[in-house]
Amino acid sequence: MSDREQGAAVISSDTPLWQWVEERIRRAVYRYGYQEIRLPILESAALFQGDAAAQPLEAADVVLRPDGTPGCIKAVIGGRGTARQDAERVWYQGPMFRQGESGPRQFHQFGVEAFGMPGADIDAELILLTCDMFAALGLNRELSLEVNTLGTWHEQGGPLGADSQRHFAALCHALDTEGVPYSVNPRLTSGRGYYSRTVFEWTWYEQHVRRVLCAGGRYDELAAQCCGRPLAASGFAFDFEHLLRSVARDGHFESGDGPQLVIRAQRPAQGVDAVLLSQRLRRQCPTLSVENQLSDESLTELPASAKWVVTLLAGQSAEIWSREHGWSRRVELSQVVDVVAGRARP
Amino acid sequence: MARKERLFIAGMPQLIAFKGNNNEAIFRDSADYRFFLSCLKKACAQHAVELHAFSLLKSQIFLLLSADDKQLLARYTQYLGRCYVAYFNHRHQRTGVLWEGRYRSCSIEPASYFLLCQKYVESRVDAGAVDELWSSARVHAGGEELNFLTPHASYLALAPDPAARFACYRQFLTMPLGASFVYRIEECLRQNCVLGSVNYCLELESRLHQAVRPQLSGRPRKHYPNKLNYWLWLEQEAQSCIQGYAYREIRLPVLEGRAGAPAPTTSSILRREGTMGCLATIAERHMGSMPARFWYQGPMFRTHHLTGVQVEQFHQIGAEALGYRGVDIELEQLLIQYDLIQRLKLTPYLELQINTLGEAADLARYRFALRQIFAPVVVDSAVQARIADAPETLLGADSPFEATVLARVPPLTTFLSDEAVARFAHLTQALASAGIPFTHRLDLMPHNPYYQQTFYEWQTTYLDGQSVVCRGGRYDDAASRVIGRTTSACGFAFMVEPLIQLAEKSRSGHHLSAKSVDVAILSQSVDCVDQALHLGVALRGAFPYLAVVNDYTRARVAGKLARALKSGARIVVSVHPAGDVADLYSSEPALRVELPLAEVLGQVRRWLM
Repeated sequence: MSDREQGAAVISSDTPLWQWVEERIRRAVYRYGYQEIRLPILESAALFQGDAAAQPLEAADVVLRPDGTPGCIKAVIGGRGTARQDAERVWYQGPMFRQGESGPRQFHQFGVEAFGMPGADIDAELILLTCDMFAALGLNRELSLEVNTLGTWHEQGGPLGADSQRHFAALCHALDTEGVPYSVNPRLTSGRGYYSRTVFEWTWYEQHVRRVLCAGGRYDELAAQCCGRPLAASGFAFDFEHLLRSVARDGHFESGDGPQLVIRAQRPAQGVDAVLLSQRLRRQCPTLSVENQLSDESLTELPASAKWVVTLLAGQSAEIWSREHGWSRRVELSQVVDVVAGRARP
Repeated sequence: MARKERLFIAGMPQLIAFKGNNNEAIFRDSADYRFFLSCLKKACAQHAVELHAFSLLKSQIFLLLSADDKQLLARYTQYLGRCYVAYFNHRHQRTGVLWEGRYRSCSIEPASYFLLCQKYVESRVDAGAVDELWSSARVHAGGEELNFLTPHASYLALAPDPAARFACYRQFLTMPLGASFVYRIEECLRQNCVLGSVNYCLELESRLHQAVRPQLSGRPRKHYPNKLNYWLWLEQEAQSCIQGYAYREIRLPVLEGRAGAPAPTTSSILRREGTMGCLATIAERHMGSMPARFWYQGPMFRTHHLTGVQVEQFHQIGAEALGYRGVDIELEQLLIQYDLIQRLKLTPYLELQINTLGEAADLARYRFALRQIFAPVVVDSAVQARIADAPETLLGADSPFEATVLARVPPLTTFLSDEAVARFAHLTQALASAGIPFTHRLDLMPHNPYYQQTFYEWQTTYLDGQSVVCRGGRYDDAASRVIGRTTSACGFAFMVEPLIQLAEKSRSGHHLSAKSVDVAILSQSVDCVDQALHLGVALRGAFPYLAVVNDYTRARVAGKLARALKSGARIVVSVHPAGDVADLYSSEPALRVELPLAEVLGQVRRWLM
């Protein structure tokens, strides 16, 4: 965990996974009509007043954002004083920062927020969206959904009002009709003072220890407090690094394709010619992914994905090897592009 | 509308272009050309105007000259017209005007643009006119002598003796002139502006209190489309472009600094730029597998240049290659940049400026010479530190030294070893054969102390705040220091904000639309939200690539419908209160039908097919 203390760099061996997960999530939220928004990393301190986890910066009234939600509210309200009728659906992702013992700690958050919709239907939609996401990542078998209602802040700790009960019943009914398996967990109360009414968590058990991957719910009252007027708000967020670890463990990630064509030069002096040849190849065959092995790379290593290998020889000629055809031919340098594009036969 | 007063700045060479009316021929045979040359000769003799280069095309004339004042230039051009037009009309039995409108002109920054401009003039040729070239090219490349031409100082500075100068200039003429440069010079001519580097133009603007840079056509926009669309477009293009060259993405932490050692201040550990973070990460993790190529993107932070306290956020997209010594990696990275710029349709607005600082030993000798000059000058301690570290960074536009001090700085070229010159020539020849236009700027100096050998900048004159959109080069020594062993390193970084500003200004991303909804579903009362929700699930299941949006607000039905249509939805489904029937609206073709809920899916499929 020491990596996470300082915010770990994701090294290139992990980035294909990271990019794959991002792409899947992006597609899932697109299907539900959510818009991406970009939030500044430095936020005004006033926005996070009372949040002890926010890391302040010296000599300026800004903090490193600890959470995306207030930034979203600010962006959606956009300084408008009057209540907006529009429903807004947004999502964001990026690094967040919490104060730690040895300085600020970075983690990566992904969040989805829906504003202006007071009914239980949007809560159900958010849960359906998480289901879709986990299904797309191949995680749905390991995870279980727990829901609960906390009531309004006023009702928390006491009996639920009729409206809250009706809201929860509507949510459960919607989940039942859509066939989403869930369990009602009355002990799901850690979000008191933050969430009102609906809360939900996606959990899994790791050696009999309950772990939470994703948490969300309705936070009308928090949003109202944040922007100073009534605002219906509902959303969820998860720690992206947790998600990546879960996908790496349980998901069905397949590493993407490597380069299909590798160009290399037999002699270091031909490095520039090899780069120029690769430029012509990229222009003529835009769908082909081309890798240049430059003059300082050893010629022995070949990526497993390579279908073609072009080796520049002395005297304006080249050797082309094709995995598909199983031959290796010597051609003029000017013919290489045509042979690879299938316009000429060697 | 009153005519704009012609811009004339004393001491700057002028490029002048005459054009035949309605593109008709100004010269019909070689006798005409010869007579015009004699006019030129007489005009130069009678008026104190120095003619540096010319080119006579069938329907156009380009003259590159210097005049002491505006009056002289006016008399000169008037004289040319008076002599030649009368001759031409008399000889070819015609009457009336020969030139189309006023002649066009622009002023040229002598130091960095004169030779390029001369090349522009001398490379204008009519199609088919090979044997008879009526331009000064033959004089400058050797072979002919015209006594009324006055060679410009920049041309004479190419080489001390004529033979070497001719060879040098012939070599210079073989490199193609970039499309972006031709576009710019023609814009400058059309708008009567100054052709110069951004800093030079900015300085002129503050001195003359007048705009001297060409403007993009069109009225300034009052509303820009959604910035985020540009942003996402740029990121997508960058990712597919850079990964297409087999660079692997690396995600760097926003907070830098070693674990365990508490940082003095939070703002001091926010990352300032990607290069050093990239290197530090590699060093920390002992990633031994070199050579390696990485790219990164993300927010960076800097202290505000005015207050010095406030921290501001900006974004970079960059790439680094470690362990490559050859010149081929530099070429590859320049190709990536050009590829990305082409994808963003920004080629006419960006220019590649490139220079070499030579090998480590050359640079060390240059730095030593600079320290000799700068050390006696009294400056503050921050500048003293920079003098000790990398004095060449003080030669840029924001130099703290006065012009008299800077004038004593010896040219960098005299410190370059033969190997460094040959290496750079190898790179520039490769760039020319790859078709990437560039300018070798001898006065281009890096802004930070890392670089050695090649370094370059992509500059634009179309933005006010920032002129550099991308920077890069080789930084072997800096990388070796961070990593702790001898390493070769070479990289570049795009500044995202100016790039987006430029894309917005030039409207290169006009194809991006903000519409991101395909089907909108709304319920006419609260009783049928379940049906609407279920319909949404069914539609998403049936069409995995469409964006299906449910409207769950408690607004009026008319309002919801208006909003759904405004959002760009191709199909709007409005569920009746009873929950068994729905209204379907299609935008193309504009139709409205009422259907039982069970048949909605089939109808949507028919409309979409």
